[in-house]
Amino acid sequence: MSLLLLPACSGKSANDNTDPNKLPGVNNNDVGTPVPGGIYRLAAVADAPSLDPLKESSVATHAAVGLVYSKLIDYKIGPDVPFGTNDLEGDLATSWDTSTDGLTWTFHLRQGVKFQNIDPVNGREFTSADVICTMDAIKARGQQRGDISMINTWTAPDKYTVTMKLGAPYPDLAYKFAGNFLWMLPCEGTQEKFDLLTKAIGTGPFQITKWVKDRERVYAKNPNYYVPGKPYMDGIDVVVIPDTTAQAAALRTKKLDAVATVQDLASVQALVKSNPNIFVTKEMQYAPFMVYMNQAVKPFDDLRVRQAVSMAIDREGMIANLRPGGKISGPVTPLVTGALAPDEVKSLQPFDPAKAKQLLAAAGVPNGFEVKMLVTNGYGDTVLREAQWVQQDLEKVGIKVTLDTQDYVTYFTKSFAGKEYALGAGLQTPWLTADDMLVSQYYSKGTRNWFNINDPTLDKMIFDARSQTDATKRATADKDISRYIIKNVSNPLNLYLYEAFVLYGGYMHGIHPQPEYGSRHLINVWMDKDAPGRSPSS
Amino acid sequence: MVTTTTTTAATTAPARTATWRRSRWWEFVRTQRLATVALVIIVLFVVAAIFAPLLAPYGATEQIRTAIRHAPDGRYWFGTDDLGRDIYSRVLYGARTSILISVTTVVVSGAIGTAIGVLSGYFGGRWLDSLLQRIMDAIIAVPGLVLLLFLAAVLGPSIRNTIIALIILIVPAFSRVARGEMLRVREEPYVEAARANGCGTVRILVRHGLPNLFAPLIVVTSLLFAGVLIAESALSFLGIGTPPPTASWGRMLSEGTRFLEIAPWMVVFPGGALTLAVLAFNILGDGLRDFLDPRSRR
Repeated sequence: MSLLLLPACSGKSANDNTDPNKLPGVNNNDVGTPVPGGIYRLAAVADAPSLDPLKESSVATHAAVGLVYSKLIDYKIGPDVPFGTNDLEGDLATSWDTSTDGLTWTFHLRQGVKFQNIDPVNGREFTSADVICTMDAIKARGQQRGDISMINTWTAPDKYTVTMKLGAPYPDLAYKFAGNFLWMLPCEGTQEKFDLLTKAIGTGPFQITKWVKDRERVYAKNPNYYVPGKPYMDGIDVVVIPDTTAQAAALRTKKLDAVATVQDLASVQALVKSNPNIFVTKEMQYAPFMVYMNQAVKPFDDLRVRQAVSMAIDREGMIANLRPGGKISGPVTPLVTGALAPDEVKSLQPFDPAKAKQLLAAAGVPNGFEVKMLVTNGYGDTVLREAQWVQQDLEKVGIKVTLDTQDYVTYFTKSFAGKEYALGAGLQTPWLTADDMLVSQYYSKGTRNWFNINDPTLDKMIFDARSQTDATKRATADKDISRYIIKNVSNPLNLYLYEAFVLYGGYMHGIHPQPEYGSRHLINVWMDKDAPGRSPSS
Repeated sequence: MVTTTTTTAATTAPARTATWRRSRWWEFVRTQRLATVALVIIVLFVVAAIFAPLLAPYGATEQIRTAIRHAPDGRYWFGTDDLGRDIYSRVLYGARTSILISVTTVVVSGAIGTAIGVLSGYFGGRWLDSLLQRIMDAIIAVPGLVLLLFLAAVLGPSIRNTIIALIILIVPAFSRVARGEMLRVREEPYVEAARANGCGTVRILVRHGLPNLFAPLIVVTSLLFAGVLIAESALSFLGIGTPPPTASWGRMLSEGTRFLEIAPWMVVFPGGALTLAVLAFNILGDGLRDFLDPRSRR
């Protein structure tokens, strides 16, 4: 995955290039004073299906438009903020407050924020009307409608204030607005005065100047950006290079400034040994590797078969052999509040092929069965290797799997979202709260329930938990939901979170990302005066 | 007496033919020594492909998880790959994949291309010949790799689709050779004589046309085998040929390049097998051309 397809990139980096697995402490390559200018050159394994954040839930789309649009609230960024922080800060809102009953939220908008100077928006000021347009559009046709389903009404008392009324308390609302999907769009976009599928005009730090689908995206610095002097860089070029070896070669020859597709420790070591100027970061990703089943397709309608699949897979072996590190995950991923501890997850769904065979026999398929497993090459080679590992594990219990490898757009928009599969493997959205994960995937009407899960008891548990105002009680309820899912649903199987390397040219500085899909941290990234990205021919 | 003579003639003719064939083989072996070595190598590859399940110590996709990226040694002769699969076994099974694809592609495209060439060359009136040859020209006009990439991308990665893409690519090569030869043969005096004696079209084609096609087609086939091997490997290398986890030399090369610095054996052995096979088919093709075409020996 490219950096823009792998938003949870890094927070820590190493100056000991010989062993990226033994990072000697925090060093973000922050030496020196920021120098404006230069083009940041990145690679993506796959391109966005479209630029419309209302239509697409794909990471590729949101990573692409995350540079262009802003959110009301965002996760805090900066050199002193640890990766994966829970601290929020205003983006388009300067502040927000909640009524004592938790039912009314008021957002105070930043004044003087200008949209990018592109027709038909033409650099006009961002106001509360745009928030209302965005909310209306999401409610009418947005794939993010689940994210705002707890809000009954939204109004704009004045140009810089928005008030939202909820049916029940929802303490995590600020995190919803800081999450992966709730970009603020101009009314011209939601009212179809320009095509959101192919054009993006926002208030973010960069504006798209060129998009050739499946080839490249070119971004230029937004001169109207509301933070004076930022971003430092003049632009970003994202080239689509599906082949990870070619990406690594481009980094070696300084045709790219960063690569996130080399994920094997020994390969990273070899690469930095022969290119000492490269520095490496390693950070736990928020996107779990998952195996999922379509419960409308036999025999996956049988809980025992789904449990057998779960017990057949050697998660720890995968982490040890295919990733630089990782943590076993339950339905709620382990970096998020409300997740089960990996040890408990392991005890609830152990690696037990013998038991898996017994479950298959009890389900009436003692000799196993044949099935196709949906995968995509759009997540990079490592995910394909993980799929082959799972394939071998399942074969050992009698489930003969054939890989159905599809391009990313077909995989995500047609086969996965269209539920045209029986079994699949891939990466899941790096949701940042337990509620996001549970409502999106496990709620019977969840926007990302592409597994045909329909369990009224589970629905009730999820909605009871989300309105719980006491944070400790909510976390306890979320853990109970995870236990219930493992025992009674066993699908999708979030196998683990994994650590990932990102390799940067030594001339890059100020890199402090956060795991959400936007890349606002890039406003603080800068490059040396002799960086290749400053050369006109580069 | 008459009966005896007839019997003698009947038994000596096949014997003479067999003797002639044997002498031709020996002549080939004697005059084309390099090509003979190439033929032996090809036979070894075919044997390896057919008997891969017996010769390979492990399954093609079997993951030995205690030996991931294990260097070559007495147990794993060619080492193991990034999923712990035995590379020696995968090279053997890869031969099976490559030869399956090559043979199927060459046989099917040979049949289609020859039929088109014969139709075009023997029967070809103004419109039929023009129509068929313009279609062939259109296929040839597109660079081979570009056409393959397009077809493979449209059809999707699978062995069947790889074969279909390769067939479309090489049909014109057979068609052109067959057409050229048929244009020559149909004007030969012995064909005219056969026609004058009342021989039907089918008989003329079978007795006089196809035997004349044999020599040029066998040379083209041998050379195209090498091209198909390379093309299949290129497609798999680019990720749109044989899908994972199928053992194919191209895919093994593609997977191995990522580990070139730390596990070069992942590339060296499938790359070596591919190089050797392609070289063998090319040398055999050259040898057959020299042997079967008297003009090239002058």
